[in-house]
Amino acid sequence: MMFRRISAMLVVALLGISIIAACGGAPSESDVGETTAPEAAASGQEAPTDAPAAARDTDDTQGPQTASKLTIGIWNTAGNITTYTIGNSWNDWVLWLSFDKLVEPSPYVSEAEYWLAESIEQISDDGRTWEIKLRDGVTWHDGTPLTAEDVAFTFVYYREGPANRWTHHCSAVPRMEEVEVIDPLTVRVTSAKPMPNFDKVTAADLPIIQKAQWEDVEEPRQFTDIAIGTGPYRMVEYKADEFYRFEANENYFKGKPLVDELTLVMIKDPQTMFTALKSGEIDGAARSLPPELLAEWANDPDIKIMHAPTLWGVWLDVNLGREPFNLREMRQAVSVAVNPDPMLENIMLNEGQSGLQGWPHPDSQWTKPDLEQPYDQAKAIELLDELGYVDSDGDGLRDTPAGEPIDWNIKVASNQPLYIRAAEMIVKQLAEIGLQSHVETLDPAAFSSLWTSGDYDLRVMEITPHGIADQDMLIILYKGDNNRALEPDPEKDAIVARWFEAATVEARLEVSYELQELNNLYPNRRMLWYPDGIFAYRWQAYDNYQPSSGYGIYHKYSFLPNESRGLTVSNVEE
Amino acid sequence: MYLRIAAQYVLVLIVTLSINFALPRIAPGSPLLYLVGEDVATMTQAEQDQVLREFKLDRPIVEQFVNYAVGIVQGDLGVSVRYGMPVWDVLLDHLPWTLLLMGTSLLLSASAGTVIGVFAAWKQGGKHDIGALTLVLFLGSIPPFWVAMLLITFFSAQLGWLPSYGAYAIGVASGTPEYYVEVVRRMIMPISALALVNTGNMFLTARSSMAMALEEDYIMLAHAKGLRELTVVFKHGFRNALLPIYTNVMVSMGHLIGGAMVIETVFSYPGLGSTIYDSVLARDYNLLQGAFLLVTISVLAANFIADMGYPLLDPRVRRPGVSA
Amino acid sequence: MALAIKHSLATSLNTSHGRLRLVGILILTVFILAAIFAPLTTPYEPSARVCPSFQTPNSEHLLGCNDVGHDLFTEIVYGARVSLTIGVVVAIITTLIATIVALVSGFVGGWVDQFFMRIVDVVMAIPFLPLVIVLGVFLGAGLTTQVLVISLVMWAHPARELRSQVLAIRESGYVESSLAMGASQFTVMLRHILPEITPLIVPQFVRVAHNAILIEAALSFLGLGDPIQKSWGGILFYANARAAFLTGAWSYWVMPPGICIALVVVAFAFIGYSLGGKSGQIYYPFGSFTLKRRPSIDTGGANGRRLQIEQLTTLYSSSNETIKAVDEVNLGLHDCEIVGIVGESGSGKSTVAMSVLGLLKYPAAIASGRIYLGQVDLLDLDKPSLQQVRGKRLAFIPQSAMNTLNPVMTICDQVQEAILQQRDLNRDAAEERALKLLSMVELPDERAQAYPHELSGGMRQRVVTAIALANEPEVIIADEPTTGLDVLVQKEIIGLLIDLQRRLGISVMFITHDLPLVSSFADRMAVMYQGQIVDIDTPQQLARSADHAHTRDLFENFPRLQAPKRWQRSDANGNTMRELAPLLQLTNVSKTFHSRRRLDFKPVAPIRAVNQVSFKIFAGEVVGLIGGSGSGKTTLARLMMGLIDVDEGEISFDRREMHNLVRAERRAMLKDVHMVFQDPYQSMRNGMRVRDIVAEPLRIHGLRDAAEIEQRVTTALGEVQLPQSRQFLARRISELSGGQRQRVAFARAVVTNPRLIIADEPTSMLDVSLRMGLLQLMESLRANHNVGYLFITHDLALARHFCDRLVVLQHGTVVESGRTEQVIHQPAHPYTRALVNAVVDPAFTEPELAQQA
Repeated sequence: MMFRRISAMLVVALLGISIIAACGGAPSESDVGETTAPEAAASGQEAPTDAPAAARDTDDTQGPQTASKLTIGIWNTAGNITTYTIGNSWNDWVLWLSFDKLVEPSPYVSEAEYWLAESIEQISDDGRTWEIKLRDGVTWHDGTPLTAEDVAFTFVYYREGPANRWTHHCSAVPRMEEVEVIDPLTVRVTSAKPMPNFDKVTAADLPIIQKAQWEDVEEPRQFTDIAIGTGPYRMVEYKADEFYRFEANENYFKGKPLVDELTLVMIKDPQTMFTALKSGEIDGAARSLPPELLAEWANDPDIKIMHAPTLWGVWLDVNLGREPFNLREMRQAVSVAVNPDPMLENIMLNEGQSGLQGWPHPDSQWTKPDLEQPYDQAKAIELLDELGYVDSDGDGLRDTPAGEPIDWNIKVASNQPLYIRAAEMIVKQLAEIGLQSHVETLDPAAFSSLWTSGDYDLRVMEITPHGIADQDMLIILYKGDNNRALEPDPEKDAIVARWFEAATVEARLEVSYELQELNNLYPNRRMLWYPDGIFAYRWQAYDNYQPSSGYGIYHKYSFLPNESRGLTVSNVEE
Repeated sequence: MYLRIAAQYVLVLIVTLSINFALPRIAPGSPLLYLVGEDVATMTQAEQDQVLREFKLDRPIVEQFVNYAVGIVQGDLGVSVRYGMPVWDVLLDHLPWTLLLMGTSLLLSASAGTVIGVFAAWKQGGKHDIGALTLVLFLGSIPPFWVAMLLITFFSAQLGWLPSYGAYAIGVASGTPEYYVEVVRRMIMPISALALVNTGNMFLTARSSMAMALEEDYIMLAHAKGLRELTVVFKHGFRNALLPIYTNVMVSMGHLIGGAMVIETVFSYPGLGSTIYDSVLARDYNLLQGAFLLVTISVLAANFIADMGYPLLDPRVRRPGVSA
Repeated sequence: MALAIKHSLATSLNTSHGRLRLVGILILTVFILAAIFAPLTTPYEPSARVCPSFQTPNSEHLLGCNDVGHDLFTEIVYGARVSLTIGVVVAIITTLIATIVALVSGFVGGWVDQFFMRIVDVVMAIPFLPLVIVLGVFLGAGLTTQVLVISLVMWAHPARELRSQVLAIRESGYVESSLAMGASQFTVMLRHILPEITPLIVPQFVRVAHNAILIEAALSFLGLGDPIQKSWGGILFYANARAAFLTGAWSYWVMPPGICIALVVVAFAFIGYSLGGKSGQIYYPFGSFTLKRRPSIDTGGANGRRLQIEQLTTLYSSSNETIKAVDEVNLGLHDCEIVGIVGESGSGKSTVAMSVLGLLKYPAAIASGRIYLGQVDLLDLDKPSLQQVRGKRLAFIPQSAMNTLNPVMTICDQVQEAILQQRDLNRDAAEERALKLLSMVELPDERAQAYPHELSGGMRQRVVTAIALANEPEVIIADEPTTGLDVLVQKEIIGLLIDLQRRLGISVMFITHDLPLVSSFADRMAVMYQGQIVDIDTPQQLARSADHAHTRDLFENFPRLQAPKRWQRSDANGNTMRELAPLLQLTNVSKTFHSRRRLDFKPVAPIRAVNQVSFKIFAGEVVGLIGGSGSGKTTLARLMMGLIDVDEGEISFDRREMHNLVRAERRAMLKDVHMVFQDPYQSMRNGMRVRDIVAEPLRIHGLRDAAEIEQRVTTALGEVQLPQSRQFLARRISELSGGQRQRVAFARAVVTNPRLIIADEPTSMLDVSLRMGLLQLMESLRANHNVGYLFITHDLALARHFCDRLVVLQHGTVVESGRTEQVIHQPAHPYTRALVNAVVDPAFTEPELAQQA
């Protein structure tokens, strides 16, 4: 009989757990657990108003300016942290914790300052030869001094060694012909074509690696040791795809970092990441907060929210390698037919800048002011009629001049719900002017294969700061487009040729403006919106973050002593 | 006779492994795009091949298959594109966590399912039976990922009782009691999400096999011997009902290694399941082949052990004597 | 039709399974209706922007709106369409593939079967996710891909289960009889296997649908499905992406789709379970009586008798009617007395035994009466005290045909268990006593540690007897202990039982349908008819002058070996037949079976079932094939019908070769030869109607004209004295009694007017009263159509009366053959002599069997 009682109790216990789980009973009042998150505020029912609530003003509750230990959530790094495993992702800042550049913060901001370099001068008037003077007394994490040998080695290794994100700086635009070590602290570089922007773009983008460590590494992508850098933090331990632990580099030339130990934890699912932040398991989430959460968390006492420009963009890419988008006027028609503002309002809840400002990114120093990609439905209809794309079979939908029906596919990655919503809106907008189209989703890897296969009409995707805020990259993208385009664009080719010849920074900028003007007139990329960076953090753990353009608030400059941050950070906006 | 069964298992293994080789490669996209992302548009073909050469993925397909086959025999599964580490190490890192998670959830659901199933079959037809049946069927029908998200919402976000991600507390030295407490706290929610579904399946098998056993004639003779109710139901009934339950548990054991992809991803649990999910999206051919090798071998091994283990439980198979 | 629905509704309401099924069907219909009439249930379009983003629930929008202003209630209703379509369509495709694979591999067998099963192994071994993505990406996103992908992965499991069910059906009696009539594999598959398997497909269909919906939801949630389709999983995908779990939105955006998925899936689970699951009859722990019985007057004990049953009434109450199985029975059992209880099936004899032992199975229950064992009324005992009585003072020997020994425990343990239950001996003493008991029942010592399946039928009965005698019981109830055993083994067991009964002074209540057997040793005999004891007296008294007509019938129907031959066929035509060529001739026919060992390496010696058999049958002659179980009778019959091939020797019919024929020739030959099987319940498929069963051989031999078929079927039924009305032709075989079914089997035999009928124990399953009727029918068919019979039986007395010549078979070899009179009265071979002696003939003298022991 005793047995029957035990099994009955077991059944009741199981029932208890499952009922709580299944019907999701209201959270029990007992306030156990480490954090004191008051339930009322958290699961408040009030409707999130359209305009985001005012962010908490900073002065009345000031958190600690330094911290001994900080845990931050990241989401898409996987293997080791080296210049060959990190690139073009939201987590580039993790690399910059260990590595430095000659000029910082990045090529995208208008003013940058010398970092590893003492000075960089152009010593030939045709802009092809530059001399870099290194800052004295900078040491690698293993204590050995930074020398010109390392810088020279970096340029040569990127040019000759296996390709990565920075290769084009040395091998193509510009192409480094010779690299000489003049003395332990001076390097002279000469390129094939004029590179007037060397100090502003190349020097501000290239991470300097240690010659001793990388000299005889043939397969850098399989490099599992801990990379030695000069940066403010030294990686001490990592477990691939799980966590990375950094310790402060005491004798960093810009001063001892404010946080002694940094642990970056890998959390893939966005919901789980923000729940961990809310429940206090992590002190910061290095992932932009979804706009709808903004209202919900705005008045959470433990969490502060800070806005920071991320220089990321979302655009509608038109495939100029496929009929009928090789026609410039058709590309223009598609561009003016799409109105990005409702997307910004409905999908991003106005947390970003409109796509009407065209590309590249309006905040980047290289972007021509008052650029625009207008929305003009009438113009679109006019252009389409001119091109002969009219409704020839009377079904209310436009057909090709030859009379075949049109049904363009808009391809989107299936793990990007926001872009799927945008694509659905585009379908409606095109339908308004008689153009039939439909949305197709692909798994992320198949979607990225579109870069090589070109098997799409239109696609909605995001683009990294490197893609839309770096002047050299503009030319690289032009080169990529060119070898896919069905027919050349002489006007554009001429401008690019003049760009290569421009010897001075100003001259090259002028030509770049012309190129941007042309790109926005007959765009094969229609900007949709530039998302605002909204970052949340637990201010009682550390409250000395500062936004830096292109990185958000989680970057190495937020952990440097305030006085040595200089131009790398922009002031805290309201 | 023995040889024929072994030969068939080997045949199935070979066919499955070749399919595992071909499967990721048929899907469009390549590991190159994961490695260099959008820059691939600007890279020359030579540069692209050079990147792939690091992982021996630029070779013609046949050569890759030969390396793959030889690799399996010699135990060298190549290097993972995503981790930049040998595949073997990645698997050994993640396998223990999957075994821990799935093993415990299988254990829990098997024992709970069987106990309730036996109890329901014993009280067959009564209100206990129908009550247990309806509840377990309902719990088995709830989508596990949905339950997982709700668990996180309540027990982590709102109540803060349980951590919502990872398998262990980072920074806590392993081996210390505090480390194990954290590991257990992180296992509770994934396991309860997994166990809900599995319990239903175990319950149904236990209940039907127990009900059939209780109708056999040796139960009547056992009562005629004057044995107590408990002895009859458990020593005779359950002992015979154990056979189908054993097979059912062994079969689900086979799918253990595959791990619960959805649950592991939602809880960012570093098991084999979430690794397979990420590798498929990154087209990490080498790691996928390694992981599939493990999954295939575990499924076949489980079936084989089930076949081998069966005679231990059932003398009729162990000693096929003269039939009357 | 309406009546059928009302009826099924009524029956399903009271069983637990029925209620589950109804709930399941209800939920499903609600969702299906909502999905179909979606536009009516909601005012909005599913993808129209009808309210501001993240609108919380209000009057117009019951469930609020999602991130782009689509009304959530509309999305859920339209989502039902997608999720249900995927679930149902996947289930249809998967079950279709699974059934085809199961039918082909289950029925064709051989390397085809191996081939498909290996594919099933491979499909089950391949990890699920990459297959889904590869196929999803390769075939392009969309509903069709989802359906195809999930189906391609899910067909393996149901295919394997359905295959094992096809294998089981293929072994059934009606498939074998259909093959014996020359039907091709394909027609058997179509006409028998498919209709039998269809009800088994439904639970598979439902289980696949159950899993398909869950898989689709998981895939869409992970973003691997097709977000454009907006299934319930799709809604959760957007909810998760827009942080609904974290905001207050979870209650109206996350809960509803999850609950809808759970409800639809559980609906499928309920239906699947109630269809596939066990029938929900209540497990009735033996021994708990329904105590609300009328207390009859307490007559103060068994007054001198060891067991006294007074006014015992036991009822079988089913949903719509109650049957009185035992009606006011009174029976006394004196010390050291053997009382036989005789009756046909359904007479209530077993129910009396079970009522005494308290082993009644649901829904049987004792309504009134008392059962005294000494001074104790068993019906008043509570469970613990009853358990003291059972196995100690009151013991039970079960029917031999059943598997009453626990297959996974050794013999010795099971006997020991009975001993230890009543006496607290230590293990060695108990084992020693068990071995003593086993030797007492003459079971060889080395067999003590064997398992039940390693013993022959006879040996198992000895073990069960040992268990009954474990604690020197006062009364033993033996319910048909020797039914189904070989004639010679039966004689030994009875001898053993009577010897032990005498020596240990146990009173025995012996229940059987075999009147001559029990009348040879019982002290008193009670004859039961329709739940009542109609006669009770000594066997001799009853044989001479029984009061009740039924008892006289019973005695009269039993053929006696010594009585004059009932069917005396004129010897004259016997001789004339000699010169003509024999209708059927077997010369030196042999067959050996090689059984395959599964796991251990010792190959078991091949069994030589038939060894150099030869005999002849002439037209219109009846030849009896006699032999115990395992003598090769049935194998011989199957060899003649061509169901299995002959190793050596020949079988010729009308001088044409008949063995190892190619299918077409075999079918032509089968027009003239027909086989009637032993079990009427197995050899005809329950679902078929009488008309189709009798017409089957005609259709096999190519007759298509309906009118002619109808006419020949009606005449055939007339010949076997069955009603020829249209209603009877349309009745399902399952509604007929055993006797009627066997007559339909014979109608099927004569419809193609064969020249030879092979009858394999046609009467052994029937009650005594029906046997003679059937033999009379066979005789009339023989006389009208000059049909030859090969009458296979183990019942020597029956064979003596019916057959002209006898062939005696022992271990596959013909030991003797000749005219019936000569073989019976001057048996030459010792085995024949033993068979003749084993036949119990209730001569009018003292029960000689008891004296010999």
